[in-house]
Amino acid sequence: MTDTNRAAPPVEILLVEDNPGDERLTREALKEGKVYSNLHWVKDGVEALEFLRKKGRYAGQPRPDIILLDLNLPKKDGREVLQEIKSDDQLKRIPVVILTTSKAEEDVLRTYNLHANCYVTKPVDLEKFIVVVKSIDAFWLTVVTLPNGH
Amino acid sequence: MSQPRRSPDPSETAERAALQEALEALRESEARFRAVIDSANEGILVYDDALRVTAVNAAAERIIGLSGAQMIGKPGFTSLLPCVRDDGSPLVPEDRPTRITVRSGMPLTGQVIGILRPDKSTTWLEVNTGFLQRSGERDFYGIVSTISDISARREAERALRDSEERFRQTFQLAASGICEVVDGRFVKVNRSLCEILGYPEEELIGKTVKEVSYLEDRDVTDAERARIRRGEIDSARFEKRYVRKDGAVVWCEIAIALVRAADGTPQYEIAVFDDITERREAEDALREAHEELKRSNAELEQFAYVASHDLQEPLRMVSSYTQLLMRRYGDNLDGDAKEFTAYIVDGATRMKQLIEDLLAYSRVGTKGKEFRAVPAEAALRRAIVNLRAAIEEGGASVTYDSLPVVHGDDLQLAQLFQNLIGNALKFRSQSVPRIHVSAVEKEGEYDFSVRDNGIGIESQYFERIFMVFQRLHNKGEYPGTGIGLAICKKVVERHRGRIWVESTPGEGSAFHFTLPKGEGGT
Repeated sequence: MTDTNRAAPPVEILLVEDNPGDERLTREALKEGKVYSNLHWVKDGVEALEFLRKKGRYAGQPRPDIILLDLNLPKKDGREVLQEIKSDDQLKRIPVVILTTSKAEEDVLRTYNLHANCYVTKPVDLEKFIVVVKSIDAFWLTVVTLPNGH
Repeated sequence: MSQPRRSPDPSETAERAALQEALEALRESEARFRAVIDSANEGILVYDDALRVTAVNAAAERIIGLSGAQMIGKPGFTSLLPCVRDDGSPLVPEDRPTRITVRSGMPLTGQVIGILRPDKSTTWLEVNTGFLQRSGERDFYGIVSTISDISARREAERALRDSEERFRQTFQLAASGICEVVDGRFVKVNRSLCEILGYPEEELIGKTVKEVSYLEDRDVTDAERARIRRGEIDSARFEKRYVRKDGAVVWCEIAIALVRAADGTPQYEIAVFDDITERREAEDALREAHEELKRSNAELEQFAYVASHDLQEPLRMVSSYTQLLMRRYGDNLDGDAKEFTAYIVDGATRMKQLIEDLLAYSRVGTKGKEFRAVPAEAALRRAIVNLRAAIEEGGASVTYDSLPVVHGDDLQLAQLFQNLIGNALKFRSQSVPRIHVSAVEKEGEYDFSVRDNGIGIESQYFERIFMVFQRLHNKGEYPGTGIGLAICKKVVERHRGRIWVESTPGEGSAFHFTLPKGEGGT
């Protein structure tokens, strides 16, 4: 089914990440993984919510198909962003992938009982990261090919 | 009476009858008087004008311990028995009550005489005397002396004096401060209290207890003292602070009771003070040290978490971009460049492993669960399941005896078994690995052992292997960061146990650890 869906528009990905190195790495991993996508990058939680609500300079931006959310963000951290997204009827159906730096951090997060769709520990190994990015693509495709969309 | 019988003269006959009647009346009166005297509780002795005993009553015989016959005609009992004066000195004839009475010409009251008994006891008497005189005559014809036994009263008085003296000595010599308090003011204080509070006695007396109390502790005794006063409780204990004359604060443990009169009216409060400043200071210091330790431990855990978390990000950059470099431009690089970049990636990967291990180590303390009853066998089985692949790969046999139920954290105990068995599998010898787990009961704890037939460990490393990142082999021989046994040690210590190893190089090792029976640890 992936081949037939390749004709579909690119995956709109919103990356919420303050580290330019990680942004570039994500972009490169998407390229290496040959994921057909548009990557939108915002650097903090406040910008992320403005993007999602199409405010100000984000007025013409598309609604993302998936959000990659880093946790340690300036101004408004990932937990708060996730909470706002999940309590907003317009936004709560967008799948959110939480990017964590360590397994330990993931454990801590689970205790908050936030409704993230998935947790991904950023791997040190590039090959693994490419696999992760590809799996995000596959995950999104699964979601969009489900009957009735969501 | 020897006259010849004559016919009776009628007037003489009447006179005789009257005389007879008078004699009868006299005899009757005397008998009655005698009966009264004999029934008296007090001893009565009658002396003639030569101061010799002429009559004694039954009470006198009983009190003195001599019969009337023994005393009659003698100058009283003091001449027959060894007697002492009130102060215990020997009684001389001049001290006899009769002589004193005659000498002074006055009746005597309240003379105290002791009779020394053969059994070393003393019968104490109180003697009163009086003159016997016929009406109208100036001279006396005898002396009457009454005696009463006051031994019991004197004994009670002596006991009271002794007890008062003992109390006085105790009061003064006690290491504890003692005081009597009336209306909240010191009325009596001992030396120790003066020392504890740093005031001379004359300054302390008259002060209120509250004015020497530490401001914040001033009223802490009020409620309980009121309860004592209402009779709800007999006494109460407190720990409170006082301020010495020199301004220093002193911690005291005090016990307060109320002394009441026979009718129940409160008379005074008695309080015993013990200086516990040193103990309180030691307790405070201990508490502070404990708090400080907790704080620094928490900081350390936090530090370990943050440091390892923040360390990972630059690490990811290093390894990911090196790999990206290889992926894109690898074809243009020579062998050396490829080797160097491989080392960069390898270094970063190992660094990540170290950080993850360090995090796992710090989480033994912070992420542990509450202890409950855990069958050790269940924890062991879980470990074996987790290690199934490694066990099958090595063709190893893992056996175990029946294991007890212990008090602990099931996940951590499974991790403990997993690390120890995993180690045994890793450090195997040429022969097929045989691993056996058993436990014996010993003095309130269980001694577990995990025994293998692996390569063994030299005794100089027995301590070192339990330290974080301590390894005995290079990474080429055996992989790993050296965290496994350090985690084991931390898990065992969290369970208030000990861990050690016994081993012979070339033959195998036995890792022992103890877990307390029943309720242990937190």
